[in-house]
Amino acid sequence: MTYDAIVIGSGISGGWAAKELTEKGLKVLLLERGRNIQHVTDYTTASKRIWEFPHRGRLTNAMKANHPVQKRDYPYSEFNPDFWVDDLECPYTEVKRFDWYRGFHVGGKSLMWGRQSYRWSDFDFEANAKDGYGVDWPIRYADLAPWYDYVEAFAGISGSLEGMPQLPDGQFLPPMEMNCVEKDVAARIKTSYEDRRRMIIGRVANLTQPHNGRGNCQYRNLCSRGCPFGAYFSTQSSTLPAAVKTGNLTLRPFSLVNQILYDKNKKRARGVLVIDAETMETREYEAKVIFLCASTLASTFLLLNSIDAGALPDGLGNSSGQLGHNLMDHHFRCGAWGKAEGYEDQYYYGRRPNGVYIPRFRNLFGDTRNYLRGFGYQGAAGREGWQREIAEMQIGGALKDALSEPGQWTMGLGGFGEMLPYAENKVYLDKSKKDKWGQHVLAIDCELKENEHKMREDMKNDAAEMLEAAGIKAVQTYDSGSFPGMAIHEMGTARMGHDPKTSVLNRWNQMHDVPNVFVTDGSCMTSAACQNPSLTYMAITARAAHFAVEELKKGNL
Amino acid sequence: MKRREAIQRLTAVLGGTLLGADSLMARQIDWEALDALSESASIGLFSKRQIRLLNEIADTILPETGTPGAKAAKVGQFMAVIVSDCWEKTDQDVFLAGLVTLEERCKKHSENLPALYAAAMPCTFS
Repeated sequence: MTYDAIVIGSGISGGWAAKELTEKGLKVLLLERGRNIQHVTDYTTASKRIWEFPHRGRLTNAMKANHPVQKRDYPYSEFNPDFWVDDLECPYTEVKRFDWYRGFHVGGKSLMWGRQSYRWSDFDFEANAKDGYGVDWPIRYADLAPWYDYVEAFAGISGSLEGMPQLPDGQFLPPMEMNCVEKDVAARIKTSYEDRRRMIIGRVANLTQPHNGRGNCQYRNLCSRGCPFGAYFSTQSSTLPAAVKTGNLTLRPFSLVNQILYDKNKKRARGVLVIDAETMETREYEAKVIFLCASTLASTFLLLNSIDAGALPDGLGNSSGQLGHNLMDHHFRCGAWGKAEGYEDQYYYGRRPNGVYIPRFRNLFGDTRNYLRGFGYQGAAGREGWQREIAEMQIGGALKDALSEPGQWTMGLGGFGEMLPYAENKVYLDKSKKDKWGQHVLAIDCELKENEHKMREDMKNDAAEMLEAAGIKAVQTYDSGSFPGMAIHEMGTARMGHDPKTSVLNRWNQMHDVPNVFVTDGSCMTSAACQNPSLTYMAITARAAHFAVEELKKGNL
Repeated sequence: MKRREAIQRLTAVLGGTLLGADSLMARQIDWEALDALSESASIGLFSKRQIRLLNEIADTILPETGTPGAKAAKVGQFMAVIVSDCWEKTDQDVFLAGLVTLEERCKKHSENLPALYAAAMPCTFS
């Protein structure tokens, strides 16, 4: 079968590629390795009450047994177990601990993502060039700004206009509201630091008003089960219906792409080799252009695995030798929290699926530290729930009645720090094992280094200092430890760059070596910034798709 | 999450070893009726008898007030599910052993019951 374009992967990036390419009139085959999930009707747990889950969300020993990786952190739970992979079916080799969270289904991680949506700025796009880590980004903020506008307007991002150069404003729906404690803390941080630090409401891909036929957020905070109102951005709620509407889309679930097929004479990809994930049958599909959006490490695996029967021993598009290198994530799980006295007569509306955000302030505007780059904070204030008294070991009717009331206000901040691109943080094929589908597996060799560990000291202490300055009492710092992969912001391994000798992709996410292959998921990232990356994948994908269509028209692909 | 889990486990462990036999006896548990229940596993690792006991313990901690108590909410059955399905073997063993210890202490206390009631026993811990 021949199509104009093949999109590999149906998550945030693949959904955008499918939408843009079909809307430009291309006949597109969207390949997804996992099962289909129909919007709304397949969100089987979305409307269940907590007590309808036999284990109230906890993992059973049986669930832990075949999810030795997914069980390591909170996202995998009884609330949405079908959205996460069976680790035993798709093993990988941890040269050093790397937590790889994956979901094999239509929509990918767009169904379970954290939805925080921040633009990057030129402080991020210029960082490599300034301090010499990694290679220079081949784009600047001005290249991406119109595409941020474009994807925000469609996806629906709520947020406040702040005019902060390190976190550019966007096309926002009305912001969610801070609660009473957050408002006071924000005001006191602003005063205490003379506006050099600012706490704002999180910018989030949840609709604060109806948008493009989708319902507004109901403040249930059950997003990761799938939203029956379509109130957060996902492939299912947003990009897939748009692509289907064109009549140009063929979606094929259970289609695991094993290799991109290469035409040596034309130096172009000619198509893909697909393994039917259920029957194990293989078949080929051909296309003029391929968008690789399988997720950071899956895309790089696929390129490394595309050896054209040995003719490309280092994988497809790897003349630079950079494929697999410069793996990054964010490091997090450290910060501070404390108690807010008073406010007992105040509460808040619903369960806001969003928190507050403090944009980066370190190593900016004249500040210099003993490490490079910086971090931002996510946080929230809330009232303690019924669990609060367990440790006190009281019993009886008075305890029960007390637990029926909301508890003490607390306020916490957790840092998200930038990880530098290190060539030695890498992935490669491990040919000693195979997955369920007979493919070799990925070996991951990645760790935090001195720069990240130094930064974590500030992530703790700056949080504590700001909370204290804001009047929060009994402030404690914490560092729960962070392993690469845990933030699920894995980036790099097929980086963009000016020079084909040192990078895999050019400024249009086009492979230097194979011009009709575009890679627009997290693998393309040249540095990691400290902002959540998904919005940037959306912008970069839409931009690359429009470029690819122009190039097709010109006959350049 | 870890803190909550730790507290939950601690509570269960303490529930078996430290929670006052005094408090439990004040409920005047009908041990004969309890003993009439099946000892064979009913939910996971727990027999009907153990589940009834868990409900008594839970209802001591969260009794009926203006709203139903833990027993009415079948917290005993819930504990049996959670401990059987979600806990590590070592923690399950501690929990089950604690339940035996608690029962032994309660029965021992029952010999001193008249004196205890005379003292208008408060709900405290041993």
